[in-house]
This record gives sequence, structure tokens and C-alpha cells, in this order.
Amino acid sequence: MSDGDTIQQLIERARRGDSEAVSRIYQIYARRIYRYIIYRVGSETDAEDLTAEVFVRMVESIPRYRDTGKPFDAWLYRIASARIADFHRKRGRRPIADLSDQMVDSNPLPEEQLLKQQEVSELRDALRQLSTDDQKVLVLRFVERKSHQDVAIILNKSVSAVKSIQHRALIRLTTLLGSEEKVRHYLRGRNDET
Amino acid sequence: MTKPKQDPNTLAEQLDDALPPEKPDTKPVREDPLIEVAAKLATSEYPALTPEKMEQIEARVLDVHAQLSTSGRAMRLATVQRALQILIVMELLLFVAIFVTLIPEIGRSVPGDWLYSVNRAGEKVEMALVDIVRDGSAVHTELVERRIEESLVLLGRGVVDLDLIGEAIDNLENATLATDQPTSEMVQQARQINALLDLVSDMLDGDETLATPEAVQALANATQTMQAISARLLPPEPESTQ
Repeated sequence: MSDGDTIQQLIERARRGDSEAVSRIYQIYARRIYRYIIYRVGSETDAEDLTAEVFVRMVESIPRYRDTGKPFDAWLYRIASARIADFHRKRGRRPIADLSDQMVDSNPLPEEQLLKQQEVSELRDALRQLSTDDQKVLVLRFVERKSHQDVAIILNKSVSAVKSIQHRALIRLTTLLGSEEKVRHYLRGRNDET
Repeated sequence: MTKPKQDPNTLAEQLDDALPPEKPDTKPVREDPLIEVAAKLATSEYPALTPEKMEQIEARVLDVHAQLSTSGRAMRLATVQRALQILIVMELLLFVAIFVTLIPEIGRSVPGDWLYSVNRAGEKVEMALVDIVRDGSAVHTELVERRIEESLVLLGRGVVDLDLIGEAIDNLENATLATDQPTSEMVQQARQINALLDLVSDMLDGDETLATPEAVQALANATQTMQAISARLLPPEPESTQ
């Protein structure tokens, strides 16, 4: 989404104490901030708490927010990243509840659905083994579907740095998911062989 | 024939083609392990925020906003009172400054010294007055500086205080959040804290009595948080293409 005049007007109204504007901003960004968080922490309850913290921090800080020409969501993602880092620090990286357990329904799942759920669980576990930077780039690029340019702005990096991290992170993630042989071929440059 | 391996730029172009940014659709993914994994990530389904939870969180956010707005209106109505407040605060700060100048030991005290509690009490007064007279980012930056100096004094005495370093990290994080443009001072402080953590790590490695499980865990937590902060503040290290 492009942050044009509308979001700037909402921010201005929110700064003046307009709760409807705060509500609109929340409605626009809550789902994507939640999605960004849940991919990084895994547990629904923790992701909900952290999402609330991000928006509470937003209303506390919005009087000091200055438009620097960057998209507003870049600021929200930065707050979310800081809250996630704080969450992991306080938790001491202790294992968290497995998301796949929370997704289990009391009714038996069809085999295909079960396999899909297992695949999602494996993907999440592998993703969380990557470095913080790798996780941020992959989630913003492929879950949030941000462009390289937008990710660079959000993470305060150059576009070429984002592309390098993306390249490295995807190789690591593919390796963690057990496609090592494919990655070896890829690294040798044989992937495109016909 | 073996083609050269894809570089980050080529991969980026192929990904943009297969998974266009800002669009939910995914084109048929060609046989490439990296693009396949990216597509898996793009199409994986995670629990969404339920409408009930959306409402609950929104209510909490609006509640905080209402409290802040009420206090904001009250402050606008009391502009004169505020001016008086500032005068009083300035006098108080002047008094604290004179007090600290007269007794320099307070400013130089570190955890364990009997004057340290006086030093911290002064800081609490300062923090309570941040919104009135000073920029929050500047105060946090100053506190980072103090915690780093205190940590260095203690390390010189062979004492590792990871809580103190943790406070420096928390203040640095708050300083970065209070401003949209990190200052060169914050960047410098991030480097100093990283160096401190390296030093502590070396000390723990060489001394079994210092390396308690709590200290090792606290160091790991601090290091992890600093990695996140450093990623925002420090320029990325040169990337290897291999």
C-alpha cells in the first residue's frame, strides 16, 4: 500500500487526539504487523500481546513521529522488531509453544491437510533457526510481499544488501528444509542445466 | 554445459517475476530450490488475527490513546501551570547539578558504592522530567554513556555486572525508538556495547567462577538483543558472495 496523503492526514488527526484516526490506522496495519510478528515468535498468544504492544507504543510515540518521507509502516515494523527482540531477550530464547499444536483440531484431519500442516510447521521451525536479519528479510519479502526497495527502507539497508541477505537466507532455509542436494547443485551452477 | 551460479541480483529478478511484490498471486514456480522455498513461504498459511482479538487489541490501544489525549488536553489547558512547572524544574535541575558538582564522587559512583543510590535517585528525577524539559532520546543516550562507563569501571575491578550492561542496551533501544534518525553517538555506543560484550565473553571463558549459568544466559540474551539493535544502527558487514 502506498502511504499517501490519506495516511498522513490520519497521523495528523491521531496526533491531535482523534481516536477514530487511531482506529483507522490500527485497522490498516494490525493484520500485517501481527503476521510479521507471528512468523518471528510462533505462538499466537505472544503474537497478539506483541501486536498490542506495538500499537500502544505507536499511540504513545505518535506525537513525536516525524515524516521523513519513508512509509509509515517502516516505522511500525521497526517498533515491532524492537518488541520482538525484547520478547526473545526476556524469554531467554526458551522454547515456545509449538504453533502446530495450537492448530490441531479435535476432528481428525484429512491426510493432505495434515501433510500441509506439517510442512508449515517445518517451514516455521527452519525459519526461526535463521539469523534475525535473515528472518526479517524473508518475512518482509515473501509473507508481506514487500519489494526489495521497501525492505531496504524498513531495515535501513541498501537494496544490494537486502538482495545479498535474501540470497544467503534462502540458501540456508533450503538447506534446513532438507534440500541440501538441490542447494549443492544450485551452488555449483547446475540448477539450470537441461 | 555448466552455467555460472545465480548471483543475488539474478535471483532477485527471478523472484520478482515468480512472486511479484505487493501482489498476492504466485506465478507457476520454475524448478529452482530457492524460488520453491520462497513460494512455500509466500503461500504458507498461518493463524490470522481473529475479529474478536482485533477488537480486544483495538480497545486496549484506544484506551491508552484516550488516557494520553485526556492528559494532553489537560496539559494544553494548563499552559501557564506548565511554564511555572518548567521554572521549578529548572531550579531543581540546577540544584541537582550544583549538588553533583560539589560532590563529584556521586557522579563517579558505580554499583556497590554507597553513593550510587543517590546517583540513581538523581537519574530517576531526571527521567521523570524528560517530557517536560528534555528530549527523551538525548536522556537515554546519556544514560547509555553512564552505564557503559560504570561497566568499564567494574570490569577494571574484575566485576562483571550484566544487569548494568542490560540497562545500557535497554536505554540504547529506547533512544533509537525515540527518534527517527539514529545519531552518530548511538552508533558509537552500539559499537562500545558490542566491544563490552566481547570483553565479558572473554572474561567468562577464562574464569569458571564468573561463568555461572545465569551469567552465561544473561550474556547470550544481551548479545542477541544487541545484534538486533546493531542491525538497525551499524552498517552491514561486507557480504561474501560464496
